[in-house]
This record gives sequence, C-alpha cells and structure tokens, in this order.
Amino acid sequence: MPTKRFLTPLALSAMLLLLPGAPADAQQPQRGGTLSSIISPEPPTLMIGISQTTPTAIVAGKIYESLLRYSTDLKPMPGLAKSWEISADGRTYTFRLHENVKWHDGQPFTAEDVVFTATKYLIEVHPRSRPIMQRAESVTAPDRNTVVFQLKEPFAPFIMAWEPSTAPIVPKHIYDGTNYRNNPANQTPIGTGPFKLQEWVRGSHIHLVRNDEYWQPGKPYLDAIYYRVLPDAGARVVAMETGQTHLSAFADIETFEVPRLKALPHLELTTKGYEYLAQMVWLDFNLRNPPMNDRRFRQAVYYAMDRDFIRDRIWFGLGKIATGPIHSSIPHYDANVPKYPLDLKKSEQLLDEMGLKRGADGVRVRVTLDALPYGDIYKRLAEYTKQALARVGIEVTIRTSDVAGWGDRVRNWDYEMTHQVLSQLGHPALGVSRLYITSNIRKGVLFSNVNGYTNPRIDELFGKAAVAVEPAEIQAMYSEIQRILVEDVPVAWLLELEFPTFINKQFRNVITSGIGVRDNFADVHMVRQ
Amino acid sequence: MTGMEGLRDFWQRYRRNKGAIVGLAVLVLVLATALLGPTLFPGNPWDMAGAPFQKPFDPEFPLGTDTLGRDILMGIVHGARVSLLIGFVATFAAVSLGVILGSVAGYYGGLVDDLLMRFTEFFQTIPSFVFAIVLVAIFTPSIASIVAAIAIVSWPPVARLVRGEFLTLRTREFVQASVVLGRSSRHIIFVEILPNAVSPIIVAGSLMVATAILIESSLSFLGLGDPNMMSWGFMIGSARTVLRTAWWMSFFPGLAILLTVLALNLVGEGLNDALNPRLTREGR
Amino acid sequence: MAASVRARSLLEVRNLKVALPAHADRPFAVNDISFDIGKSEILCIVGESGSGKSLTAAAIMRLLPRSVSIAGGSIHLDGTDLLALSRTQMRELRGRRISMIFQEPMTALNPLMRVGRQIEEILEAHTDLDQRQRTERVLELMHAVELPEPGQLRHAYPFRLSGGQRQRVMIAMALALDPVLLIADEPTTALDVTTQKQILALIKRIQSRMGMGVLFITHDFGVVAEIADRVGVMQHGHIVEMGPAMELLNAPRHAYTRKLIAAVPRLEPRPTEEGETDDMLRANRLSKTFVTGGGLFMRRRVVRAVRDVELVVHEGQTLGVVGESGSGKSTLGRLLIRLIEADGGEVTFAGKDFLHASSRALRALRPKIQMIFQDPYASLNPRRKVGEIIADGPRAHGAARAEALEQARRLLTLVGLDAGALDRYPHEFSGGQRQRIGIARALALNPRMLIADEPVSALDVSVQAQVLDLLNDIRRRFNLSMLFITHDLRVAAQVSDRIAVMRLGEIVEMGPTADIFLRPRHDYTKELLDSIPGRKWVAPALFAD
Repeated sequence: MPTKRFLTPLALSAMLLLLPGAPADAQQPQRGGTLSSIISPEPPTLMIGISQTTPTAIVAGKIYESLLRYSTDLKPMPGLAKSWEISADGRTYTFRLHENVKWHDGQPFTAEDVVFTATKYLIEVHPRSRPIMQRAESVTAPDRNTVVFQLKEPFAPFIMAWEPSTAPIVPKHIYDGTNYRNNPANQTPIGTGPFKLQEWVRGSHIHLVRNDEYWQPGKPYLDAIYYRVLPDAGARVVAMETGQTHLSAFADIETFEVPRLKALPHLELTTKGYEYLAQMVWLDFNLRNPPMNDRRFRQAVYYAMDRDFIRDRIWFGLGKIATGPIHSSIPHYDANVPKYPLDLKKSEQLLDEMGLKRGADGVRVRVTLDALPYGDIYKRLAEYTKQALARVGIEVTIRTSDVAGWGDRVRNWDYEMTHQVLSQLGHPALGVSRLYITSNIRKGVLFSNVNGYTNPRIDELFGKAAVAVEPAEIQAMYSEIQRILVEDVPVAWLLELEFPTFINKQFRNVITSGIGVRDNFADVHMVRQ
Repeated sequence: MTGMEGLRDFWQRYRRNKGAIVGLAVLVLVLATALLGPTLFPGNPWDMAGAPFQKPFDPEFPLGTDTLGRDILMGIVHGARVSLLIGFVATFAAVSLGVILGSVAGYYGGLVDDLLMRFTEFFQTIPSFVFAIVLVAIFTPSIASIVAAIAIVSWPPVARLVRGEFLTLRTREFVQASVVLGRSSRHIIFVEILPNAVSPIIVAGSLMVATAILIESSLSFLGLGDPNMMSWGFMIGSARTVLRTAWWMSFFPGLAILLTVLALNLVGEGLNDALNPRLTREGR
Repeated sequence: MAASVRARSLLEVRNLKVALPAHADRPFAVNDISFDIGKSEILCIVGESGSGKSLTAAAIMRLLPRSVSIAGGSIHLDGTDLLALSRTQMRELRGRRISMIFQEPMTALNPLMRVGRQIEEILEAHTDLDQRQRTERVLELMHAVELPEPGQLRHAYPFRLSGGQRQRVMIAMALALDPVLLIADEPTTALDVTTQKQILALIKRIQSRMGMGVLFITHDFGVVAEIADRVGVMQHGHIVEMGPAMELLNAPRHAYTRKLIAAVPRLEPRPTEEGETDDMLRANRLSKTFVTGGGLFMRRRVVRAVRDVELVVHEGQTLGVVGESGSGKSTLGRLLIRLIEADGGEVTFAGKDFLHASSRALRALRPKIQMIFQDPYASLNPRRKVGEIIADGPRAHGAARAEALEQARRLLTLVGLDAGALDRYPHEFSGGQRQRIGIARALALNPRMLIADEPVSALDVSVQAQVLDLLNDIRRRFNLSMLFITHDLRVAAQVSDRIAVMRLGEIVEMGPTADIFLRPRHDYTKELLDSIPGRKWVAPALFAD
C-alpha cells in the first residue's frame, strides 16, 4: 500500500534512474514490502533461550539480538554493542552498548539486561552457552551503557560467542525472578530486534511485523516477514518456482532440484551465510567396540570413501571435501594434514594387516550403520556407504529409526557406526573441542563426545589453546591438534556442507553476515522491478 | 481333491475362467523372474552402476537408473524375490496362525470359542495398515519384523473363515464317527476336519499374498522397509521426492507391483470358481 | 382304491426319451417309456434312485435342468401336444392345468413370504379376481387341505409351520387353479409316518372330489399299496412292468419288480426268543435338555429332548427304538454313546458305569460300543482312503499301521466288498457300499454292541434289504448286541427282538416286538401302527431271483 512516506523515495529513485552511472539501489533503499520465506520444519518455540534448533534460530533471530554480529569471514562486527575493548592480558572485555535501545514492550534496554542474561539466564537454561559464560569471574555494569566481563583466565574464543543463538540478550524486567522456562512471555517473545511477532498460526505461518521503535534509524526496511510452514519438499519447490515464497535456506530445497531452480530467472543462488555454523558431515565410529577400536580399520574405511562421488552424486556438487576436524571457514583451520584419497588397495592392505581376512563369501567383518534420520539424502549416504565398504569386504547392515530413536541410541553409545552432522559455531573451542575431549564423554547427552575418543595430548592441547593469548602460539597448538586427530581418525570427516540459499531477485542484502538467514534482516530491502 | 482325475477335474473347471488363466501366466512369469532372474541378471542391484537420473530405453540401462545411479531393471529383477518372499512367508505365517486359532475355536466352541473370538475381534478393530506401521516402527524395520507385522495384521480373517468351516464340519457324521472310535481331538482337527476345510483357505491365502505384497510395498514406500533389502516398495519410496522429474524410477516398480497383485487376484478368483463349483437349474 | 374310469386318457406319454449330458453313466435318463393316466385315476411310478422317475415328472412339466433335454417321443395332455407349446404357453399351462408338488416343501416355499400370500400370488398371476375374492379363495383352499385356523395361519411364515402343514400349503398352491393333472414327486418321503398318512389320505380325498388325475412318484411300495390305482415300475429309464395296483403288488411278473417287492420288509414281528440273558446296556433316568437363546435379545427355548428314559439291551439281542422326528431317538443314541453328554441319569455298559466314566476309563470302554450312522454320504471322510478310514479305530488304540490295514482288508471281505477298496476314496462307491464300509469301520474294534442310527433310511429298498441282511449276519456271527434306531416300523419289525416306542423324549411303550405289533397298549403306539402305509397289504413271500 503506497504511502506518502513510500512515494517520495520512489520518486527520488525514479529521477535518479535518469542520471547516468547511478544504479538505483546505491541510493537509500526503499522502505516497504513483505518478504515471504519458507520455514521447515515448524519451530517448536520462538524463545531462543530455551531452544536453539535451526527453525527457531531463523525466526527468533529477527526478534532477539546479541552484543555482536560476524561477517562472512567471521570477523566480529557491532551488534547491540557499538564498540568493545579487550585488555592486553586477555581477561577483561569491555562492551559499550548503543543508547536509546528499547525492548518491544517499550522498556529501555540497559547494561543490566546484559548482566542478567550472562550471569543468571543463560547459565540456567542454555547448556551450550553455560560453560562460556561461566568463564566470567564477574560481570558488571559501571553505567547504563557499559558492560565489563572479568574472566578467570584468558579465553580468546570469548569474542566469538555473541550471536543470537548462542547468547541472546533477554529482558531482565520480564524474566528476573521468574521460572524462565514457564514464563508466559515465552509465547509472546520480547526482544530488541527489528521485527516483532504479530501472529503465529500453527501449521500455517508465522507473521512478523516491523518494530517501529527499532534502535537503528530508518530500519528495518521491510514492513513484514511471513514464514510459511511447508513440510512437503515438493510444495517448497513449487512455492519458490511460482514466487509464492521469496527465500529458502538450509535443506528446504533438495539438492537435485538445485540445478533447475538455479536456472530460473527470478531466483538467485548463494551458498554464503553458513560460515559461522560451519556444518560438517562425518562417519562416526564407536571406539569402544572392535573392529572400530583399531585405528587401521578406521583408516581403511576412510580410504574406501569416494568423497568426490559423495559430493557430486549425493549432494549434487554442493559441498567441499573436508580435510579434518576443523571446517575451512573457521579460524585456525590448517590444511596441512595427512590426506586420505580414495585408495581401495591401501584399504584392503590395512584390513589384511589387522587380520581380517576375507571369508568364503568375501566378507571380512560385519558391522551395523545407523542411518541418520534427517532426510532422504542421508538415507542415500547410508546406502552409498554400504556399497563402498562392500567393495573392500566390510558388510554393512543399515539400521533405520526416527529422530528420537536414533538420538537415544547414539547418546547411549548403542551403535557401531553412524553419520553425524554438527555445527562448529565460529571457533574450534566453541564447537569442535566438545567432540574430542575426555571430559566431555557424558553418557545420555547428545552432541558430546559420544564415540569415546580419549587422548591426553589432545585434552592438553585443547585446554591450553583455549586460554592462550599469543596468536602464533594458539595456531601452532590447533595445527598440532588437527594433525594428531587426522592420523587417529576417531571419525571419518566427509564433507563440509554447503547449503543452497535461494533468494528472489527482488530482495537485497539478505545475506550480510556469517549467520545468513538466522540474522536480524534489518538491512533487507525490496527492489521493485 | 483326490487322485489324478480329481486334479484333471479341477484343471477343467479352473480353465473355464479366462481371467484366471491370464493371471496364472503372469504369476508364472513373476515367479520365474524371482527364481531365475538373479542368475540371468547377475550382480548386485545396490551397485551404483551408472550415472544417476538416467532416462529409460537406453541400451545399457533399459529402465534407467535411480537417484544414486543404481540400475532399475536389476532392482526389479532382484526385488521380485524380496517382494514374493515376504508375500508368501507372511501369508504362510498368517494362515498357520489363523488355522490354529480358528480350528480350535470352531472345534471346541463354548468358552474357548468366545475367548478366541474376542481376541480376534480385538485385532480386527485396529486398522490393519496403521497397526502394521506401528509394529514395524517399534521393532526396527527388518525383513523379520515386516513379515511378523504383516502376519499379525492378516491372520484374523483366516481365523474367522476356518472357524466357520469347523463349526459346519464339526457336526458331520464322519467327525462323530471319529469321536466314537476314540480318536484324539488333535487327530480329528488335523486329519479329519482340516483337509475338508482346505478349499476356502487356499482361496483366501492366494488373495492374502497380494495384500501382503501391497503392505510391504507401502511400508517400504514410507521408509519403514528393511534398508538392506531392495524391494519394489523400497524403489518407489526412494524415488518419491523426485517423482515429478524422474517418473520412471517410480513407474516401473509400481507397474511390477500392479501386475503381480492383479495376477494374484485373478488366480484367487479362478481357484474359487474351480474349488467351489455351483449347480444351476433352469426351466425350459 | 377307486376303479379307474377311462374314456380318453388325460395324459398320454408315448416313447418319451430324455437325454443326459455327455459324461453321464448312461445316454438316456428316460428311455422310450409310454404310459397313460386316466381322468380320475392315481398312477404311481415306483423305482429306486437313478431310475428316471423324477426326470419323467420334470419332463412332463418341461422343467428339466439345463444339461438334460427331451430327445424324443410325445406328451399329450387332454389332446394338447405339450412338447409343441412355446415357453409362454407352457408357463400358462403350469398351475392352471398341470400342477406339481415336491418332496421338500421348505425349499419350494419362499421363506420370506407369508403362506397366505404365496397362495394368493398364484391367483394374482393367473386370474382376474380382486383382492377380496382372492382372500376368499385362499381361505377356501386352506380349508380344503385341512389346515387349522386358516384365518390366522395364512399370516404365518413357512418356518412356523410343521412339515405336514407346509406340505398342505404346497398342495393348496397346487390346487389353487383347479388343475386337471397333479404331479406329486415323493411328497411324503420327508414326512413323519403319521403325517404321511394324513397327507396321503388328503390327496386321495381331494383327487376323488375334484376328479383329478394324479401322477404319484415314490420309492415306497407301502405308499403304492395305500393309494395307487395303477402302478408302473421303472428301472434304468425303462418301465419294466405296469398294471393295476393290486395285481402287480400281489403277483409281480417282472424279475425286477419281484426283487423290489421281496426287499420290502415284512410286517411280521420277529418271534420272541426264549431265555434270560445278561444286560449289555442299561440306562436309568437318562435325560437331556437343550437350552438355546436366553440372553438379552432372544427368548429362551428349552427343549427336553430326552426325559427320564429307562431301557435295557440284552446281550446278543436287538432293541429297536422307534419314533417320529422330534421324538428324541437320535439324541438318545448319541447320549448312550457319549457323543453328547447327558444332563442326568446313569448308563451301565458291560457292568461298568459308562456315563460317568473318566476320560481314561472311557477310552478303554469306547472300542466296545460303536456306532453306524445314517447318511452314507456324510459318514465317511471324503478325503481319506477307505482303508485308512476302517483302520482308524485300531490305530487310535495303538495298533501298527500295517496290522490295522490287514484287519481292514479282512473286514471288507466280511461286509462283501473286495480288498481293492482299501485304496479307493468314498466317492467312488454307491450309498449301499458306503454303509457297508461304515459297518466295517464299526466292527474294526471288535465291539460288543452297536448303536445303529437309521442306518438304512437313506438307501433304496433293494439295497436296504441287503444291508439289513448283512447286519443280521454279523450280529449272529459275533453275538453282538444292537440298539437300532429307526422311524420305519417295517424295518423295526424285521430286525428287533424288542422295541421301545419314543414320543417327545419319552418311551411310551416297550416290549417284545410281537407284543408291540400284535397287542399295542399305548394310544400312540396304536396310532403309529395305524399309519404304516399299505399295512393291510401283505407282501407276497417271494424269493428274489
């Protein structure tokens, strides 16, 4: 609905079109428009403190903000904090906050909210954030707009933890003194973000509208965002084709549909916006049971995996061959590690060495593989794995289950091999170490060190690297970690996942940070064509 | 049916139903595929033999390839074995279970009959396909659990049928004669009555094989099949998401299922006509 | 027996041939027969099963089954050539000029239609009478067939009526349009003897009152003696002899006729044997009550099938139990052999308590008392070989297979069948032969007593005689005791030493055969004796040649 406010910039832009050399969108972005996005599956809640599943993060990222944002090469950028300082000894972090920020209910946002969030709220409800926040000896607010973190010891990754799914800032005046999980405000989320929740019709859509009191002047540009719940893969493709939805991300569109959609004139494809998450898929070995407990077996399996085939045939070219435990977009990645190209001879050699001879039926050993229940693509990966290992005489029996069943098995160590997909969350200390350190072997907890890898040198290195200050020293330690792990092959890293984000060409500035569509969309604007 | 002339009589009557002959021919073809196929088409249907998404009517891959490059023709030939095996074994199990329960209920009557019939009704009130899904999901999909699930949802009609036959036959004089001679109940049930009740059981059984194959296909389609067995239902299920672009991946296994089930139905009807001849009288 | 008055014959059948389908045992069911029926006479056609008598009747009505056809000859009804008529014309004729009544009224009547309505339907289809006139006629007809309370009964459904009443309804339907010829195909075979008597009398009365011709098909010479004016004897599709009833019955000429008449059990009671013998079987206060229904939705039906029965069978003797349907005689037989468990009373067999014997004791006793069943088609398992059937008994009690089969072979010879029968199946044998197999089976365990439940009722009369002779022979040879259940008094007279008469679950009279037949005391016994068809006719003492 064109309003006066809208027409003036439109007229201005129209005039500017007549001036040579001045592209329309280099000017002030137009205000207005509604972005329709796919969301699948439907988020369980929008209270990102309680649940950090991807759908929740996508929608709640517009409602809640954190102190910082991160560029696509994972450099910290201002968020609610307009500037920050780290002391020379790496133990004191001072954040200066923007002024005149208001919560959606009109109350002012102050440093007290940050103190509350970091010292009480996150520690209570957010398992991933808890150990990070607990590194602070004290969190104080010398004035309304300044927060000071005093850490027990240096912790370089601390600066990488300030994005909405790891450390969402929540209102003290709403949550302090209440039962955080049952607080009725969880149904009507109150954040500082550029959009507010207008309506949520379960099974159909989530309607967000512009926060008119947003602290960044002139933003957000969009009037509203609609998230349409579309559980069926076919329906999602049709929605993007017909323009009913303008945005898809993560696994919304199946990989084999990508070439077709890519060719459509009204859609743009990008694989950016996943750098912070840095998801990787690997083949996990339960190191407690033979033959997985023998390194030669694991190496033999790794040599039998044709990762080019996996990338090209199963993921249709979307992905990058993983070289080791740390994703190539995460700081301290080192490509200088032993390589495991496809080498069936070597694989068979290792197995022979182990004493696993081929029987009369050609089978050396039988193992089970629990297929990841996240969708068809992982089913195919399991089928491929079975075939690939059959070539070297390893007979694989696939076990299928639903998400809950698979989760139960894995967290209780009731498996031999399985695939896993996990995020690395911006820094090895935040998302990688948890998988390889002995202290994180906790039965009953998913996303911990489930396969039981324990190596005192690795424990030592991870511990030291987290609290070191000198960059060169830190890098040396992480490089050694990567070399040791790649030799030990506790898991066989297959692919760094790339996801197709399809954006309708009418919209600009959709992907502006390392968390992509999970970011607040304050800068997104529509261009009429 | 007794003796060679009995067999000849039976074949005469069966032959009269043209549809039944067609059905038998198709069924023989399917059985031949299942038995001889893997010899004539050696190899592993799971092998990613070619590029994925190849269209059919190609000399190398007559029926095309699937999403991972597996040969669809191989899949159909090898899948015949799986589908038929599951169909026949599950039916055999269901019929055995139904015969035992139905014969005991029909023979003894009274309280035993009441209890067994309530038990049977309990199973019949649960929609069979949904029940099968639940069973397979609980017991982890595998060939054994699928066969068991199909058997468990299929036995009640057989039990009722057998019970009905037993109720009728129990009052026949030759059964009474057996009692008077001092024969045990077990002998009477299995040697005297059961052979006379066999005709409707055979007919029901042949139709049940068709249903069993359909249930297995449906389960595999939904992703609840045994992931280590290439069955026709599995092939359709793995191609479900690409149905719009790659029709042939679902079409050919679907066609195979259709023909097999149709053939079984026709054979079942033919058996019914041949085993239960009726006499008609008309005025002239 | 009315004297036949004949000017021109009502029905003239000349050289009638009815062909059977290709794979039958003979090419013609009816092969070149000729006969006349006078305007007001009753012609009985008598023959055994397979003689072609029923197909003759069907041919006249042109109601032959699809696979069977008329292959030659002519049929004239009052001058009209029936075979030349179109189907429509024949349909007009049926009911109006020729009517037929059948053996099983339950299948001829529509079970879902009230009986009055069924009779009315015929009037509706063939006449112009209006509703009121039709109702009048229905009542008239029901009265004519002597149905009680026609006004009420016409609203009843067939299942509410007794067998005899249903037959009367069928007769009423047959007479509705005043036909000139009535064809009756074994109309009384399925009825009790007392009811049969009434129906035969009714037919005779109606026939003479209305001046109808009647073609009466039967297998029972007693019935022939009771009502026929003239008789024709059929065998294998031919009429072998025909003539006035009394002539043929008393002085049959054709060999086959002589054979049939010789086979009719004579109504001469067996002479009483002297001497006391031990009790083989004694029953005291034996009772059985059946209760059906009795829930929320059905009324309880209580049937006291056997009430306080007391009887004795002496060693080496035969006790005949005689009664009509519903008398409880079959139930009694099954109680005595413990196929059904009694509700009360005692049974002592060979000195041991039989009724309350434990299952182990029962198992030991069972071989001593065996049963012969009524239906030769249902009493042998169609899927087992004859040898196995006979060997079943000994095998059940531990005999080895070879030994048991050897015994079976011997028994087959004993009952007059060749040893090759061991490997054949029951359906390859005739009814009479199957009964012999049944007898062999019963004898396999060397019993001391046999309970025979109507063993010859389903057999043709000539076969019946043979089987009865066989039973007699065996009884004497092995000194068996026998309880012989039957509804046929002639048969009872021939085989029993003593007779018990049953009615509605009770034994109304019991005594030596001679006493029962010559000096009946109970009214019911008298009524029964009175109902024997052709009781006044004494079959000539012929020897079958």
